Amino acid sequence: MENGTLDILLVEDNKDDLDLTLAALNESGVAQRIATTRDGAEALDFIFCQKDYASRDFRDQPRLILLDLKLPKIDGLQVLQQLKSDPRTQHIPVVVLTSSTRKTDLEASYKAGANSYLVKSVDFEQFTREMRQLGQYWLSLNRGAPPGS
Amino acid sequence: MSSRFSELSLRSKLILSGLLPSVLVLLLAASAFTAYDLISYRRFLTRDLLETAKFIALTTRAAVRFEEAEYAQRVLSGLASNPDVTVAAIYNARGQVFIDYFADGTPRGTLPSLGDLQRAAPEKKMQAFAPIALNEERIGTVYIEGSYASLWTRLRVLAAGLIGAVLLLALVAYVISLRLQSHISRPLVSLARTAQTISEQQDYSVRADEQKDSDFALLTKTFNQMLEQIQSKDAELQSRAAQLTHANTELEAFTYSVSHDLRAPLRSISGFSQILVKQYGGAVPAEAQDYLKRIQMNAQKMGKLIDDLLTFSHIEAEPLKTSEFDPAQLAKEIFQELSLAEKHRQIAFKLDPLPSMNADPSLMRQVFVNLLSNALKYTRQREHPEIHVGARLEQGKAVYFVKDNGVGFDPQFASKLFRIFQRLHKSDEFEGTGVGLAIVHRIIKRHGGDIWAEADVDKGATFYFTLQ
Repeated sequence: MENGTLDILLVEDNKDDLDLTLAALNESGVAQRIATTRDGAEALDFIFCQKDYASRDFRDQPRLILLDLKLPKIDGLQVLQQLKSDPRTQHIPVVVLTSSTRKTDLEASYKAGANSYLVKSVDFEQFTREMRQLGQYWLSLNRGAPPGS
Repeated sequence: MSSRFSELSLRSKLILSGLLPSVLVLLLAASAFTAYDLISYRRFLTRDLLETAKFIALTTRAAVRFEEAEYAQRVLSGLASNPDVTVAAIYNARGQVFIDYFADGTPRGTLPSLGDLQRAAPEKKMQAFAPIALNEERIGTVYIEGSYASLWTRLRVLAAGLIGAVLLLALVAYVISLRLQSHISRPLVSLARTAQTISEQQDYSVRADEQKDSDFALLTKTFNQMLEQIQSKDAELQSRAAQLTHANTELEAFTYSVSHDLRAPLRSISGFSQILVKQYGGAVPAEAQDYLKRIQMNAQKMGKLIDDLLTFSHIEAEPLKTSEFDPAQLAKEIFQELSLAEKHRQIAFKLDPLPSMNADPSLMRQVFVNLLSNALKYTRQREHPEIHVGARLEQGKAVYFVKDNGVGFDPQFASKLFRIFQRLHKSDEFEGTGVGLAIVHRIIKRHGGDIWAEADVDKGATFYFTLQ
């Protein structure tokens, strides 16, 4: 698993949120190799190596996907459904990272196969702590699916 | 009888009410006629017997005088032609039987003496007496006894005829009332069927058929008017329900927008101002750093406000999921969680055993979190803070309370306490959004309970609440 070049794929459309999340991840020091995509369609292109990402190696998948729900073109839930219904990608842990506390979003996310659901804290310090714990758990503590599964 | 009658269908009732009186009247009339006829016939029979007796008295006058028994016997035998005569006898002047006659041929025994016969109640039998007189001297008496046989025969014939007539007339009455009742019952039955259809199919657009008859025309017209009112009220209700559903959907969308779209910019304000202090701290003057900190704190406060408002609006939207649980355990857990953040404080926490609660546990958790964090907050300046959670029984109802020895409040503002955004303390003394107690109030009310507080300035506060 350590052979991959990617720790995290961050899917976030809002530039401010993107920068803050990157800053928090940076400060927590849990992940160095982070790729970003700005909408649902781009995220799917990235993972399935199509269109602009056609030259990417399909075997080089992120160890964790941080997914916003409210995304342009294809929304987070649809991205989640496609990832979790494809046997080649369903083992990748997906953490929904959103501002929504809505019960229906929570339910739909878990139904679509989300591995975790995190509401972004307004307080940046708190948010940084959460990102550290998140990285520590999913990238160090958690044991992922064996290669080829 | 009357209860059985009321169970009958309208149609049968109408037929019966037409038929019964006519049959009764017919029967009464027939009985009266029969009684009159029988009385007259009896009178006629009695008179006939008397005439016969008088005739025999005349014809046997000489035979009695000269005791010509054979002749007298022959006269009496002539009575065989009259079937109404059963017994006849001629008594002599001394009242002894001279000659007797029995219609069935065999003497039934010795006839009583004349005196005895006359003393016996004469009305019981049909009988007649005629004196035999010669030169104004009474020489004997004729006695004749009749039977009621022909009276009974007459009664039988009469009764058979009359019953036949009554039956025939009843049949005619039945046919007539059958014809008439349909004019009354048909519109009523049709109205009842319409009402049934409407109530079963909930279709208020159905109308009853118009009737020609003036009474029924009014009834169906009124019925149809009522239906029209119900239909318009129903349509109104349905459109209200649709409006409410729409309003709810909009509220849901609004809540979503509050939770999602208001948080994002706040996070940026808080995050970037912090990054600014952290990364460029040296380059920013101290005063500017203070401003940046205030920006952060206000962003946090607004974040808390948004969270509280969301909680507040969710209380009504979510259905209650009640179960039975021990609130003491809940209060203990919550106090431990909350006091973790204030480890440096020595708080005397007293928890009594509490009556079990039948309520929504996640909402009651919110109640204890808010009340206990208030108690922690307002005892902050106390050297020996005390918090007491307990309950007492009032009129069979459990009254739970959370009591502290904090700063309390002026009781004249107690009514404002549970209103949203109402605060009794300055926000630089005690932080808060003014939503916490409004949330508690709403949760308690949602459970059908009551909440109130007792306090005084600097003498602590006690919050009481009941459920249902």
